[in-house]
Amino acid sequence: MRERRSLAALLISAPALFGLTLFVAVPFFLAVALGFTNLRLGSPLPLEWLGFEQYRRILTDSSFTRALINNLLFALVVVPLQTVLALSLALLLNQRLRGIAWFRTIFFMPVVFPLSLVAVVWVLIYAPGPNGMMNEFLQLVSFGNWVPRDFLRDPQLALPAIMLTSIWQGAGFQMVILLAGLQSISSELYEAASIDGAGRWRQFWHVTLPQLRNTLIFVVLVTSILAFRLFDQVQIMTRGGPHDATTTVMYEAVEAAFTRQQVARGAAMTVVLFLVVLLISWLQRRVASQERELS
Amino acid sequence: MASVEYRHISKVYTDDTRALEDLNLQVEDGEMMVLVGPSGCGKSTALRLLAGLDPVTEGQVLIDGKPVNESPPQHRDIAMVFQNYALYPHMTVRDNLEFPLRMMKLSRMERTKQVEETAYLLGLSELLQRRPKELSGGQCQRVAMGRALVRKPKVFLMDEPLSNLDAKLRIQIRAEIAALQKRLGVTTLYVTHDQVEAMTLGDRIAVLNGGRLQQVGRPQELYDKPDNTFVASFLGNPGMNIFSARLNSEAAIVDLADGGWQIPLESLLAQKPQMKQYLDRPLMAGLRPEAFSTQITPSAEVVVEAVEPLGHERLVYFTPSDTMSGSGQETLVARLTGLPRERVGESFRVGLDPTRLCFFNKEGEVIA
Repeated sequence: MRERRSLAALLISAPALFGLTLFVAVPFFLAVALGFTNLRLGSPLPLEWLGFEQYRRILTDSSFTRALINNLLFALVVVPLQTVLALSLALLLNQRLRGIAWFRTIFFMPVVFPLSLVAVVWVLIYAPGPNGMMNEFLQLVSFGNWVPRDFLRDPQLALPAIMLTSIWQGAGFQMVILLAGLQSISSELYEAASIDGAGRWRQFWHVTLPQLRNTLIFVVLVTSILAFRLFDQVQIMTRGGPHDATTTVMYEAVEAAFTRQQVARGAAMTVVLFLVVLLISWLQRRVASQERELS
Repeated sequence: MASVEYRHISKVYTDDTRALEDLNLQVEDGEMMVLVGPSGCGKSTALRLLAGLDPVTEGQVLIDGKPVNESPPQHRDIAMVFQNYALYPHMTVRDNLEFPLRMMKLSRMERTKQVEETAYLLGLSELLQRRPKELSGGQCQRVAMGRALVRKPKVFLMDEPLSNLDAKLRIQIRAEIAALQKRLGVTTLYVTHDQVEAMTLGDRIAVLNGGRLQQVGRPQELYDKPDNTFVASFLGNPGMNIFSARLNSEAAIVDLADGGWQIPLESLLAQKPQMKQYLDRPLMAGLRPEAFSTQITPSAEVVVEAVEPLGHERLVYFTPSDTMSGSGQETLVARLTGLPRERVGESFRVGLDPTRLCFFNKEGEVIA
């Protein structure tokens, strides 16, 4: 009986397991293995085992280290800003107003658009010269003191420009999750707090934030992982430039593997990326399990 | 300590439900006032208006003679125990108790002192490090009480605080609440749908139905002299029997329950002269189940419908057998002492105490 049941379970999960093996496990182990070689597509040279030499090479490559730093910077700026923005939006949209569903839809819309489309639209927004939308806007709010810049080709502005696009695009997603978290907080707690003498701000501080803690941890870590996978916007808006100012680990890996056909190098980079994401997930588990002990 | 007054209070919710209709009620300083009524009668609304959780539609709420309609809950100096306790789940018992004091910006020393005093008063000292999840229902209830008491509010509000406890614990905590309220002498408004809680706890009781105040008074007063048939049948378990009555001037008798019992008209009019104007008009009479007895007159032959033995007493449900057929007479109930002797379907004689009769006009309002 027990054997028959486990056989049935195996049969039922077989298609999924097959797909998982073929498209996730095999490529992953291949990437790990290839990372130790010098494989290049279309190269006449024989395949050689390089061991950790490949990793030494990419970690001393200035473009790759720049990519790691960019990813880190991106995460450090985007994660807190986007989370605070999403939380503010969620708080605003968690009210009983006429037509609130419309507002929620509007703020969620950027999430539904394909990233590539969003990136193309923002390339237009960042158009150089005084007629570019962003330039014109900044000129308006600075009473004409803004000198038009070419955002995406300016080494200092290119990464912030991509950050802004990403925040605009991603905040809606976090907002929806936080909104769900907010709505699960019992209104009685707010009533109790107000009777206990807490004003709006202290209700937020002593009721909303602690009650939202688990949701916030989740949102922050998902956003951090997404930040390290940054690729689409870079590919479309700047192609990593100018002078590696916006390059990312993902972008470097794709460039290496598919443009320069250095498959082994690209594979090693993705392994590094995997380790970074693994580290973040591990941190998440640690923080989350602490929370479970607390409650 | 403070007095509370509802002055011509009406409350209409945004979905047009009229929760309260012209409520006038005064609660004296230090008094325990119980608001009681069936669900949807407006009793919780009355509490929420006083707390400032919902805005008043019409009228004024006064605390200590000062209108508070415009002040938010934070500034009313009231405390409330919620039905589901509403303890802060992420805080320990100590933090929960301390929260109102922190909001008052008291010094740490002062806070600790007051928290420990309150915890001692409620027997929570051992539980201070626990979180609400680790507490039993009764303990949560005590913490909720503690959080309300800790800052010595002017008015103490309790919204069905015992409804989530089992029967035994309910009786125990009911007694504790009564004792605590007497000792602290804090003005308390207590909302419940349970008339036993109302009778046992209240200095006075306010009975509400359909958003309207039915009667206010001391528990015994309401029990013995209800203002209308609603209060009569709501208070008491089972409630007052209501049956038809007719002052027959020709035969000079009072027909009760369509001729089930008869009493001399003269003696009734001697007792209640204002009933003269109701001669030969349809009326209703009310009688508490314990005012029936097998040993007194006038008595009548009745048919037993059901018997509920309660150990020390029994409830006998019956219909008067002499009533005109088709009169639609309802089942009455008598509370009799001793072991059950009656059998379902058999008849027996039961008498009533005419001095305990109440009379209501056909609108259900008391006459005398």
